[in-house]
Amino acid sequence: MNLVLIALGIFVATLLGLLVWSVGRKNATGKSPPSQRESLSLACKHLTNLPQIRQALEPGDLTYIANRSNRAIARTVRHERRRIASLYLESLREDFEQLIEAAQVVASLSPKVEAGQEWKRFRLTLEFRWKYQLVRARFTIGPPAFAALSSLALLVSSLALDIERAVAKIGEAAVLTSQPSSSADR
Amino acid sequence: MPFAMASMANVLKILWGCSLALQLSVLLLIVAKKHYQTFPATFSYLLIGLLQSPVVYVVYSIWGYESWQAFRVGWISQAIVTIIRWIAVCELCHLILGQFRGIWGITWRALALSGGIVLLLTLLLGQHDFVRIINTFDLGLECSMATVLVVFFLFARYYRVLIHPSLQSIGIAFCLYSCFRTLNDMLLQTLLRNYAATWNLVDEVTYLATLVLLASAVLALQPRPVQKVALLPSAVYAEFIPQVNDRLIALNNRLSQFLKT
Repeated sequence: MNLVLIALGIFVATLLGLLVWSVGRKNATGKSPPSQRESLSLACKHLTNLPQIRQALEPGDLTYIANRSNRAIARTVRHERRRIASLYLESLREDFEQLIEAAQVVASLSPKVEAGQEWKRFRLTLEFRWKYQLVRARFTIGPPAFAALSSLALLVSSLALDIERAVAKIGEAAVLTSQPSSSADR
Repeated sequence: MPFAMASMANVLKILWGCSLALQLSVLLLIVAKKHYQTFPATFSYLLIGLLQSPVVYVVYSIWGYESWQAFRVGWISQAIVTIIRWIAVCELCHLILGQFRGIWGITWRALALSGGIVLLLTLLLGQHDFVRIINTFDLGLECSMATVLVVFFLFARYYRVLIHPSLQSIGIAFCLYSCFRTLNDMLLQTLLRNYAATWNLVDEVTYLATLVLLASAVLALQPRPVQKVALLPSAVYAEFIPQVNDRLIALNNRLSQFLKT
């Protein structure tokens, strides 16, 4: 019986923790409600910095510095490169989160959603977050490679393009639903 | 010990008085603001809760606190109040997410499933002798109600649904009450008669705290606490979401490849 009491105590504590988490963070960040379509901001901030990142991660530069100057400078440069790569990876994640948020808004405003698709997106988002942490850890330990970063950046931007197309449709739908003779599914 | 029991009874009487006054104030506030149209179940819950206290008080005064009559009346009235609170919780969830028709379809199924599983588990793990069976049911209902509310808040957060602070406070009040009642019921199951008086006191204190939270929520409640939502055509979801999922698969594959190299 005591074991059940302890288990139930842990369960209730978990519930309370989840309650605090689920109602707390939203207020702290002041997110917009899904009915406000301004929350669908899709500008991929990371893309504008891609050429500079390419330059910063150029392996030739590091070899040149290593050959021409002392070890300490080369180490500082390597450290800086890692920091830049990490920062870029972080901005990539922020853009990804923004896009996922847009997808959530689309889902919440849809009159019909498929449980399979929702579950899939939930699972894939979790998978992304987990793998992102691993990649980030790898960037912190090993030398950052531009090819890997750029391919990730391009994927996030193509996701942004898809969502942008959908948002354009949402705009059209908003115009249609505001008209009384509209045949839009409401 | 008798002195302690007597002082506890006095404290209980004071708490009863406070909760009666507060219940009456919240009910009058709801009537004055005409919120009984928006929250009929919550209104009924408070009304029945208000009626329960004098009934139980009379039974306790006539037959005594430890009599079988008091036991039966106490638990039967409590069962009615708990079931109406359950309906009030369902009403709150539907009021907030009901107009998001698509996600509501998934949400209510998830809520029913999680609530059902927790109820079943608590009923299986609880004590089933003659004295404790009602308490086990109460424990199960409270535990599943708390779970349903937490799952509901998680869904609302996941889908970025902004909940009006007053409605959120009502949900939190119900959830906290259920959580503390679960623990209180569990202790009662374990310690039985030794804990009965304390159980009543703890329950009254948590109920009073819940009423304070409800009162503040009702006080701040606007005439129309839920915004009207204009939904999108179904085609947008059907076309867009599978594409997003495909992109996510590609993104995860790219990350996996990157991790393997």
